[in-house]
Amino acid sequence: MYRRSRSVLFQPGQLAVRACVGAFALICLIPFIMLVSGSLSDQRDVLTNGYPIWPRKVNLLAYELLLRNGQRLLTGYKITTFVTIVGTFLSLLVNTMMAYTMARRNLRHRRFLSVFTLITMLFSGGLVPWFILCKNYLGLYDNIAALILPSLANAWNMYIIRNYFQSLPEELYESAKIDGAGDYVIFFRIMLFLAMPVLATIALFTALGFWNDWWLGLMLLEKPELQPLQLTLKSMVSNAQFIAYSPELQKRGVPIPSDAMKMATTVFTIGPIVFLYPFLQRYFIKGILIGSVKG
Amino acid sequence: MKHLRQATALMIALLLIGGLLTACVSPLTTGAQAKPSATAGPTSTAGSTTTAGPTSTAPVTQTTVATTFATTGTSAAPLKEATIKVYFPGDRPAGAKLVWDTIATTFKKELNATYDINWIPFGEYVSKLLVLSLSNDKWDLNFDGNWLAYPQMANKGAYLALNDLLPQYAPDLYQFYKSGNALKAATVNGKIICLPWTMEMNGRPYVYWRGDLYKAEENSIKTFEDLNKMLYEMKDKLPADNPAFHYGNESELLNAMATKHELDAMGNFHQFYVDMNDKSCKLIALETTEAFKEAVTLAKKWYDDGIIPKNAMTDKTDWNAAYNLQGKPFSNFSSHEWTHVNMSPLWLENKWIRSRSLFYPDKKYPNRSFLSNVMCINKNAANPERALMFMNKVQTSREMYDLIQYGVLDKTYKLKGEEVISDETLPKDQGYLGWLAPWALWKPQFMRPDGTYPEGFWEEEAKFSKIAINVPSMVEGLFIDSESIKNDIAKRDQIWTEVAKPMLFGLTQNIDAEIADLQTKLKAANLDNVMASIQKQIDAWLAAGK
Amino acid sequence: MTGRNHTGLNRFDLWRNKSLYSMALPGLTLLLVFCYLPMIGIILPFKNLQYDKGILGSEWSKPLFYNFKYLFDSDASIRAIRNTLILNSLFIATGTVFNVTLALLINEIRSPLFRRISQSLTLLPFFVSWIVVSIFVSAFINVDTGTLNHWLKSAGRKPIDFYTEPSYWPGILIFTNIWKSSGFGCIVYLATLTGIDATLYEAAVIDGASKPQQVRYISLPLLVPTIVILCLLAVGRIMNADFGMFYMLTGDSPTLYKTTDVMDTFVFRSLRQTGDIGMSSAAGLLQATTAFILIMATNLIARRIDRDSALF
Repeated sequence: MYRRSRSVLFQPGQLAVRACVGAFALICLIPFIMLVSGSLSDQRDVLTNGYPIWPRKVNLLAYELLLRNGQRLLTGYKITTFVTIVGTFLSLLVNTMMAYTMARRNLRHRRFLSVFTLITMLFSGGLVPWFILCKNYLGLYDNIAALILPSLANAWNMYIIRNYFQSLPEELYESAKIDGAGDYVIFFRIMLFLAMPVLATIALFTALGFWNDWWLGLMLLEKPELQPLQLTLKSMVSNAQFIAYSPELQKRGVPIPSDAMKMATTVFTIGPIVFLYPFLQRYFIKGILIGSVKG
Repeated sequence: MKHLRQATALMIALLLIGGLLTACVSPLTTGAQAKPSATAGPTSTAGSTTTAGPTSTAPVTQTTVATTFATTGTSAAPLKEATIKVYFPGDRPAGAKLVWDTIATTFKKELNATYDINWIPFGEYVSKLLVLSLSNDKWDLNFDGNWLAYPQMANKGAYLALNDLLPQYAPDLYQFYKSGNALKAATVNGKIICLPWTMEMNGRPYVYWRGDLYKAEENSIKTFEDLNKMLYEMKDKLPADNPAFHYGNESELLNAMATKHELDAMGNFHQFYVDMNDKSCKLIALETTEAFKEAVTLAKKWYDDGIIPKNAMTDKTDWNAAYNLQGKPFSNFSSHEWTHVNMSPLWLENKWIRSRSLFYPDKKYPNRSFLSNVMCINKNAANPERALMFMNKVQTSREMYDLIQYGVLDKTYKLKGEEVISDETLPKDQGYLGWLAPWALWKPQFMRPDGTYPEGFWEEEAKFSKIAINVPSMVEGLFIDSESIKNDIAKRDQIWTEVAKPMLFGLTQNIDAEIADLQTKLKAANLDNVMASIQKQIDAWLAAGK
Repeated sequence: MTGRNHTGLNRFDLWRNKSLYSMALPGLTLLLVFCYLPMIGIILPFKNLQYDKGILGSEWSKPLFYNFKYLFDSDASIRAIRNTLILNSLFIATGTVFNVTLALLINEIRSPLFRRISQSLTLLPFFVSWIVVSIFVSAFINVDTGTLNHWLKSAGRKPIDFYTEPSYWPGILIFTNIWKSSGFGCIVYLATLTGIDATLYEAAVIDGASKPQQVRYISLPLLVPTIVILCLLAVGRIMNADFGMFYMLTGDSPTLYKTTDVMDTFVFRSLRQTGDIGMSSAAGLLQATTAFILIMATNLIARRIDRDSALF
């Protein structure tokens, strides 16, 4: 086994593939390293010598300022984690069920469902009526549901999942039906399992959507104890841009490192990629699923 | 069996959504009544307005509020507790709860109010305020200014008219406003709709330069000729990364040029100016003036000769940091305020010297607008009268002022003599100093020296705004309704940014031809019509003021 | 399709398949509430909005299309519409080609470790905000101190002032777009590839098909529905440009507008001082309507290619 994989590595095709992907990965990695270095760098050094690949002179001021109110960031992490987990689960359920219906060829009204979904992607009434609806009529204001409910249904996700369901062989459904399985049984026992790769994909997208969201928090929240992480960070950074000095920093003779703070916030939000993605990645392993079901 | 399963699954699906929706119906009902209509006695009309959908017209007309208040008279009866809800742009300081709870208890007797203070990130402040207003939210006070949402909200019914409430509930503030021009500035179509700040300032250009690199007397650089003499002498002596001159925004150059020509920018109204010596306030489009041509010519000269950086227009350098850490750039335009604040320790350490010169000291320049920073009362405010009483307190009570601006003594700030300082002994998690945006609540009579502003700074600033060359703007308080010309104004703004902005950073080949081209383009954007409409409003306003 | 002769309530598709339809109910309800109810706001561009009267109570604008006027009667607005369409089409085209290629390449990597790490790395740019990207780009290409111009100078070439030279920017924007989005763009394709029946490849290997042939005759055809649907969905957003990208990256330099000014930046610039809600929602409605027409047209074409992968 070991010997075989070695020989594979030295196949010219495999080598070329790895070189291409590796090069692109590197192009993605280097600016990110610069970002981390930038967030750790001394402001004066950056002003004189530009952004380094590796910090020449380390200065943790940006992190110190962001972490000064560690409790607040912690609250942000808690809220955001909760919203991401619950939101992703619910969103996945809602969108997959809708997508499954849209994909079932035996339904006469599935085209209506598709158009109904499509319209929501194109037309929007804008912020104002949406806000009034959420706040005055649905009571989605200043509670945690306001961070979840409005973005649960997502037309884009529905279409991607629908597309995947459509690619599955129709006989699967029909044979299950003939075996007397109910629609919910077919859906939860068979279809969800078959759709794992696309569900993992959409789960990732949805989770990132919830994780990176500050807009809902900005619009529909006031209580500081409900603020999601991204809103807290955004709020801190936008404040830093406006004040030239804080009285205390002035004593130390340093200006607010606003660029470094912007970079440091990225480091704070990189969480999901580090924790979530490797976990999801196993669903991308090549071609095991259909074969195992059919087999 | 099969059907049972299906039915259960269906129920779960329905419950999923239904449950979540109902989960937030309870906040809906409580939300509607959360704010107790705590106004004193019969005044509760203002507070008890039902939650109105987008369809409802203004729930309470200004006059009904006013008359009910008027009949109540000054309330001898004890005040019911009320919550004053306020919006500021910025970020909630950690010590906010401590401070505002202290304010509530300290002034319980006089105001009997609790405070619901909210901060919204600066970039999103205006849009959130607009939708809140459209959703008939019942907040009471908010920060605003002629550079934020005020121009949009003032004339479209978003703020409460205070003509009757102000004298009754904030008499001291009202007296103060009446003694100057502020009241006139706060009035649109006969309605007082905001509470202007009470600072007196003038933002006219100063030239600042590094005095240790170039020796010249204070106030000796009075004209563009003087400035050029210094810049060209210094140009080759400076290292490449220290520009001889720097402006990050083309308006700084225009402002200096407007000073030379005694033009008033009317609070930055789409590049229209009036001549400060023209009592009839005839409107001038900047692109047709000698001042503009001079600015473009100078910018090109500076660009070609390397006085300003080639990439000035798109520069992303953090110049604030460069100034503090490296003493760069060599020189730029500044103001009386920023050339007189404290120097940072690093400057003192490095023996860098900040030299300053009043630019064109023989020319008139308009004082800063009263509308630069204001507090406004929402059209649907639950407790407008309490908010006014609070604002009156800020005007009259040093104790209140200290609490609002600096927080709780020895918890969020310390006093060294009169000076506000912070040090390591203060709890780190209760920071309050440096919160945004306190400007509308600044009171010169109570301001303490702090790290930025030295002792006696604001007295001096007020004095500066009263010297002969610094005058109130002739169009202070003029509010131009641009609804009928807004398409043309949008076009003007767009053309201005695209064509004129690069010219002001020196990116020109043939100045005369390009200015002519700019003029043609702006003319094609219905300039005459726009100017006629504005002029008509100016004339009417001037006539009404006489 | 079995059994054509349904009786009783079963004659109705809705009743017969009630359990299937019930699955759509949560999604349907949510879309109805959060997308359809607020659509009353579509009248906003036709109103002269007063804050004390609300959306419905405010008067209709006179003339009705008053808020739309600035979007049509200048060269700049037409140019913005054109740039938006062209640049977004380029983004869709280059993005699709690159994403599919990347997915195919990653899929071919045999070493799980190499594949996992390299794929994770491609996701990193997604997290970097445009403002930070713009700081780096500026540090790299600006005319005075940029690294690239240092190289040019030391090679004896004349430095290039990128921020005043519009012709470079479509390329820069396309490159940055690919850099920032392909990590995610390729995941959907990867998922599709994962779903492909492994026996197909095994059969091909037995028939003596080479790797490129397998890609050409198995992987690509099976990716077509996904490619089509992703392109169609992208067409739905073709009039909406990524504001952060165009505003930050170009430094909002007016000398670049010729190739970089898009609807979103144009509207922002026109309304920066006035902030008129009516006018900005007019722009939104125009974007939606254009996208609607385009998506109708492309959907027709897609139905010809593959009935199933069309949107409806």
